[in-house]
Amino acid sequence: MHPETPNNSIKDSVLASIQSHSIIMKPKWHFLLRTALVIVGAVLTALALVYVVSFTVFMLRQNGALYAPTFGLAGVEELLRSLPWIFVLLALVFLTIVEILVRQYSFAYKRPLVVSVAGLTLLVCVSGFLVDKTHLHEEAYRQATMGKLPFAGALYRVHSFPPMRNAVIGLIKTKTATGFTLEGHRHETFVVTLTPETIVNDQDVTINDLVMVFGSRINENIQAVGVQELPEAPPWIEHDIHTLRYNITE
Amino acid sequence: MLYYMKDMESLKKTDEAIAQEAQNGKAEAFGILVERFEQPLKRYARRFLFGYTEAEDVVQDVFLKAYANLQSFDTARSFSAWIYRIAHNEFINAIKKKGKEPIPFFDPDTLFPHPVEPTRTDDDIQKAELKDILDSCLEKLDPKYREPLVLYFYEDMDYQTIAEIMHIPTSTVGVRINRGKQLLRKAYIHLEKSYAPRNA
Repeated sequence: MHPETPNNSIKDSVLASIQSHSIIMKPKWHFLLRTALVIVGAVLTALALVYVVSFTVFMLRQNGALYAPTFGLAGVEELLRSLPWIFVLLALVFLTIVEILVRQYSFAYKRPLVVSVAGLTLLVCVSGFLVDKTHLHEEAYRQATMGKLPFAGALYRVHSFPPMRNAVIGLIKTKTATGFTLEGHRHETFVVTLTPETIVNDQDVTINDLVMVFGSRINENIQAVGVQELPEAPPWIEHDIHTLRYNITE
Repeated sequence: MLYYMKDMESLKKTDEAIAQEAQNGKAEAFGILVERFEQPLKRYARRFLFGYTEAEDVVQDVFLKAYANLQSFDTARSFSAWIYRIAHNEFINAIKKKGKEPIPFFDPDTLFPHPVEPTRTDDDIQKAELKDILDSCLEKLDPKYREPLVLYFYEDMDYQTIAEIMHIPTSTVGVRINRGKQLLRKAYIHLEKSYAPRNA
């Protein structure tokens, strides 16, 4: 309970507390420092979030899962199965932290939570894809395999990007009446059959092209559900593909 | 005479200008702000903290907290909204401390966008009518509906200012006020029935 006098009780009591120094005005730097810490915290967490998203996109591109949804429902299912859930979870944790940190500012709390979170998610996804386009992760992967990346190196080495369960990456060796033969990065040869239902994302695929074939596989035979031409070899099979390409050309 | 003139001078000053003087170390300037906001905050406390005996103590804590954090106030913004925000936090803490009424950590009303209802011409008549009902049915309402209704009906604040004080979207303020009004009407009908003579 606070001491009370009948008239002007609150004013007198507050002024008495100020004069007796039992209540002290916090200095301006205290608030500036707190604001700075919140901003730095939010920016660092957002950067970490963008890194995790771009690394996830990189992983999915390396194992071909990113292209899978273009092959229909089975492809979407395959993408979901291939998602690195630990990174998805980490991204959600970072997203929650950023949202909590920015929620005290009017640009966030004046909007419904769904709008604010959706805006943030969109911003992070676009940034993640843009970072992925810079080939930052490809370079980091090369550095990591050479042992030149001390901190994040293990992250790239541990996740060795195995191809999706129903996908094979390789070079088109020969064209056949029903499709083509494919030389996989481990020098294994597959016979790929294309059906009218097969989705070929680049109709001009020809010999020596690097492709990812998605479909049901029995031994060396693949009934293709989809074929996706890859613009460049993922770094983890870069060397194998280079050797294969050289052999086919020779 | 000099004291009287000084008093008249301070009357002309805006809350923000006085707050700036207090920020520069004039404790008496803060006293003027206490004088200006004591009654409105007591009124807000009495209605929002309905049935809480220590409502006036909480108002005093609001002023002490406001003084301690005065340097965080941006004089380009409204002092009234700033001090009401502090009061809102203190009142919510008081309710939580008592544990009599539930204050949910998360409110689904803040999740999705809602259309804001435009103000109607019959609003003033309704406002006067609902203000009377509000007086008799305050305790029947959840704090989350009671607070925006008190700010809207008794403090004459618009949705934007209430949103600023409660840190919720403006559309959510509209939703809570409309739902609050419906709950008030229901509570009032129930109250009228319970007072009506049994064999009338």
